[in-house]
Order: sequence, then C-alpha cells, then structure tokens
Amino acid sequence: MKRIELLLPAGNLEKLKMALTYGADACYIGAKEYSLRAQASNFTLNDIKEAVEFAHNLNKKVYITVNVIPREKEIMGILPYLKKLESINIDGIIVSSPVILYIAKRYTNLHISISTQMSVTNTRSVNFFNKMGAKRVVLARELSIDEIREIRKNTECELEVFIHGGMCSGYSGRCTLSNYMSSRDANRGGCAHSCRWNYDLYMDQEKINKDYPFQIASKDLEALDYIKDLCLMGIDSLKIEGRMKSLHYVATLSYTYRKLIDDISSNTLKDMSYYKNLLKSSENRMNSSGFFSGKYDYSMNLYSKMGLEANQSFLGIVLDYDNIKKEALIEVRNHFKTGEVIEVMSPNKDLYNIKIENIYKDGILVDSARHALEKLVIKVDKDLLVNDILRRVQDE
Amino acid sequence: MILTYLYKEDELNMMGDIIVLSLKDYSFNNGYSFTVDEILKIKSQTNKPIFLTITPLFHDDEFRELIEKLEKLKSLDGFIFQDLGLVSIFQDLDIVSKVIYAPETFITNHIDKEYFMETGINKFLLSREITKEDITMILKYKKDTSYMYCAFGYQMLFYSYRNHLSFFKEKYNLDIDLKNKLNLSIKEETRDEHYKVIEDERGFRIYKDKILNAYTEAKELNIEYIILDRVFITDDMYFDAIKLFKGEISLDKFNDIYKNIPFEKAYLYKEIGLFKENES
Repeated sequence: MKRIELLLPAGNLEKLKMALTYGADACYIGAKEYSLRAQASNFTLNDIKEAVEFAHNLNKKVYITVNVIPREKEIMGILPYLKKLESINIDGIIVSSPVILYIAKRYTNLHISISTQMSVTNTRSVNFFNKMGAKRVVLARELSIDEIREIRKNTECELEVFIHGGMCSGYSGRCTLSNYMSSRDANRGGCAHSCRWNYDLYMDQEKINKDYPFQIASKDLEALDYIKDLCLMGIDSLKIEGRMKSLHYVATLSYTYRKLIDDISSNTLKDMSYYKNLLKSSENRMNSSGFFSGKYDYSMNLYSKMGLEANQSFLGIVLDYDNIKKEALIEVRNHFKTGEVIEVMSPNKDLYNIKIENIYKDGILVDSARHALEKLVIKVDKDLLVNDILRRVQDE
Repeated sequence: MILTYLYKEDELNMMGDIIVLSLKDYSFNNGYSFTVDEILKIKSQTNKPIFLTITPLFHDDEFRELIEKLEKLKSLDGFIFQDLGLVSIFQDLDIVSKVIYAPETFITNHIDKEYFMETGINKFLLSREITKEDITMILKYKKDTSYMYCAFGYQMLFYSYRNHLSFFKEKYNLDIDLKNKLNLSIKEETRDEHYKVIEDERGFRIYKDKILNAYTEAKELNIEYIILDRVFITDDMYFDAIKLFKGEISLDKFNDIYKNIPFEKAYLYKEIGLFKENES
C-alpha cells in the first residue's frame, strides 16, 4: 500500500503543532492574505515560517490555502505574496482562482493543489487541471467511493479526498447565499453559513412546512468506513476539514485517523466501533458518510435542531510534567474533580486511564478544576507527557 | 449582442440576437429544455445564431451520452459551460473557439482569462458578484477576449447536487409534488424576502428574490454578449425585456409597465465585505 498523507487543518500555530504531534503528515493553513476562513486566526508570514520549520523538522509538510477569488484591486499583490511563500519553503498552495493558478504556474515552482472550491467531479476535469499545471486535485465532496475509484484509475494526478468535517450543502465555490443575505463574501472568506439557517417553504403564497422549518443544512462528514478503500485504491491525501475547530478536535482527529491508517497498513485493523469511539469526544454535530455510499437521501441533512451539543469531554492539556513528583501542570478546559478517573490521549500510545489524586491551585489543595484556561497542578498515578490531552472517559 | 432563452418554437421571432437553448438532461431545466432533434429543427428554422447551455457539473458516467449529443450539435454557434472536464471534448470536436466558460463566480478580474488562453478558450461569463468598476477594468484589458454578462433576471445564489426539496418531502412524508415547479420559494425565518427555489434532475438551486435589471450599465459598458435570464420571469416581462435591450422600447416605458416590481442592481455598485459592519 502506497503511503497516504493524513492532512489536518490548523487555525493557528498551536493547533498545527498538535496536529503534527498527534500523527498528521501535513497541515493546511490559511495566511492573513488570500485565504478563505477570514475569521480563523490566520497565520502571518512569520508564523508560516515557524510552522514550516517545525513541520520539516518532523519530515512533515505545510500547505497554504490561497483560495480566495480575488477582485481587480487584489491582484497586484498576488505574485509578491506567492514569491514570499516560495522563499520560506512551503510545500504547496491550495488554489481556486484562475488568476492565482496562472500566476503560480507561470512565475513560481510551487506545488499547486486545486481547491475543493472548484468542485471537480470527474476525471476529465482532474486531467484538465493536471495538464494545466496542478500537481494535485482536491475532489468535490459530491463523489461516491466508486466514482473516486474510477477517477483514480484514469489519472496520474495526485488526488486528495475530504474524509471528515463540515460540508457545504451546495457545490463549494458556487454558493453566494451569504453574499446576498449577509453581505459577507463566501468566496473571500466571509461565509455566514446561511445554509444552516431555518427557512419556510412556500408554494405560491401557501406555506408548506407546518410546525417544523425547511432546512438545507448538511450533517458533518465522517468517512471512517471508507478509509480502507481510499488507502487501497491509491489516493494520495486524506483531508480533514476545520480550520476554525478546537485544539482538542485537531488532536483527536489526527490521533484517530493516524491509528486507523497505520492499522490498515499493518493489517491490524480493529472493529470500526473502536475508531468511532475515539472520535466521539471531539464531535458536537451530527454526521453522515456524505456521498461516499453513492446513495443519498435526507439522512445526510440536518433537520430540526442543528445537531449541536455542548461537548465537555476535553478536560485539559498537559503543559509540563515532573516525573519525580508525579505532578503535571495543566491548562483546564472543563470541570473535573479529585478522585475522578479520566482518560489520557497521548501521541503514539493507546488511550489509558489515570486517577486524579490531588489538584493544586497556586500550591493550595483544591477539590476540583472549575475554570477554563486556569493553570493547575494535578498529582496522578501514571506518567504523563507534555501535550497529552486529558478527557472524560467515553461511554462505550 | 443580446442572448435570450427560447422556451417554445413559436417564440423565434421575439428573441434577441442569439438564441439560447437548454439541452434536455444536460442543462438546468428551468422549465424548458429540448432534445437534440428539437434543437436541430429550431436551428433549421432561423438564421440567428444558436447557443447551447450545458452548465451543470458532470460525473464520469454522463460523458459518453453527452459526447454523442454534442457530436450531433457541433454545428451550433456557441456552447455555454462551466465544467472544465468538457474542454477536452470541445477540443476533440474542434469547437473550442465557440465555447463560453461560464462558472458564475470565478471570473472576477482581467487576468483570469490568461489561465485559459493555451486551451483556446477566449470567451467568459463575468462573475455576478463583481462591481461595475471591476467590469470596466476587465474590459479595458480584454484584448482578444470576449465577455458575457447576465444583465437581466433572477440571479442564482446556490446550486446543490442534493435534492433538498425531495429530501424535505421524504423526511416529513409530504404528499406533494415539488419537482420541476416554478412557483416555490423559501423565506428565512427572520427575514421577509422570498427566494425562488427549484429542484430538477440536476439538483436544487436557490435564486434571489429580486430581478436584476442592468440595462443602463450593460449599455454603458458595451459588453459583447449580454444574456437575459428567463427562469421565473413571466413571458410578457421577458419579451418586454428583450425589446428594452434591443432598443425597441425605452427604459422609462419598461419601468412604467413594471412599476410595481422592485428591480435590483446586484453588486454593480456595492462591494461585498467579509464581515458584518460591527465585526472586526
């Protein structure tokens, strides 16, 4: 089996480091300029430089999303910007605008990926972009596993496939609902997610929906069941969505899919419920396998409630550990108390449980961790590592 | 030149300079589309150029049949498309010089065209999201390129492969036909506007609540191809709009006839931001 890349999103440097530490082979990040997700805490060029150095030291990669659709007044800055990215040795750019494709191809040697914003749904389109200089195409999320297999058979181009995270309810890059309804440009990073709002449906003047809204929102994508197929058919990169998502999300997704890919590769695949359970704590929206099965119906959409549930599984992250005193300095994310048995997620290890023996705040014994982001010392019965994630034990 | 959609054969004399036809199963079916034989028959009845719209995004299993149809239709005068997978087919059929790349949102500046030059494509639909100032700049540097702008009609906001109306019907067990209906709209719960919606064999689409009428701007900008969209427009209004754009009636006269209709100017004078005004 060819080595497949696990590609994680990172909204900032901290998340990038966590994603790569927890098993991602590469991260994609947005810069302050020319990137969608304008509201994500995008990277400055100095941040990108640090990210690239961190990744390359681990023999991993960093791709930069340059996926806005620029207007006249924005085009003059594109070439200098791409040249700066090239000079700091990034591993590639993800693009959806013809002008950026043209400039990147003609004036740089950057590895170019065609963004999912281009909604590439067939082999001919993949080959078009490949012939026009793109090394990789991110396939549209509207494809089934069989269609992806056919495309793989019929192109030499690198293929990247979304496997997890939020999904646009319409074709990416073609949607301007947000532009019109909220005056926020979806194709330049301002998407207001108008597709997740509640609507009424009318036939002429008559309202058709009664005591329930008309909705077009999509459930999130979760393609655990299709990863083996994607690995075996020779897909180049498996991509996870979510530059706006939390540190815990990034670490958990990276950890889980790393485990799954490695288990497929070493022929030690466990029952899928094991991997689903690993993911469970990071999710707060309902999910489906999207278009992968080739059969699609209303079960891939979100109805009634938006499927959001508060998730309090993430308890804290280890900032430092004293292995003589068996004490860890942690940053708290959710409430936990002395005596509680909690779960530890640590890179390259199976999950394991520890017991919170004592909690100290500024050297004073306290009975529980109450406030998010406060720094506490906990005494535990097993060794911990910096960047270990402490979670509430998941129900099977 | 004015491009107008033909819905019925007997409308031939009321059309603009170029007649646009939808191909059954391979175009958005906004109410009317034609088979290959019907299209060839229409072509034989007029001297006006005929353009074909084949604007959906396609999947691999659709190309074999589409190629067969295009082989029969390659004598038509223009082909409006957005799936770049079609380019190799146009090249094989030696009709690249006749195609217009119409991706709705992607052609936003004067350099975009350069990316496509080596393919032979030199006609492009301008994005519906750009300002008059942007269009002026694009036209200033157009060289051997031709541009098309949609200057009239309900603009599309959203295009999905998901059959959202059928999903909704199935979810709530509704006994009502929602496919290919032109009288459906949606209203966001906190707003008053009714956005037009349609679901056909190509998926689900949402359109604006207001009709664009950029007659004045189209005239000022002198764009080579002006297309008048027809979906959800009454026949009477459409034919009056054709007369307006052809200069057969004045704007005052048109506005007087439709004085109760709130027309809009899209983004010609309003640049879209990234955030709400009170957001940083």
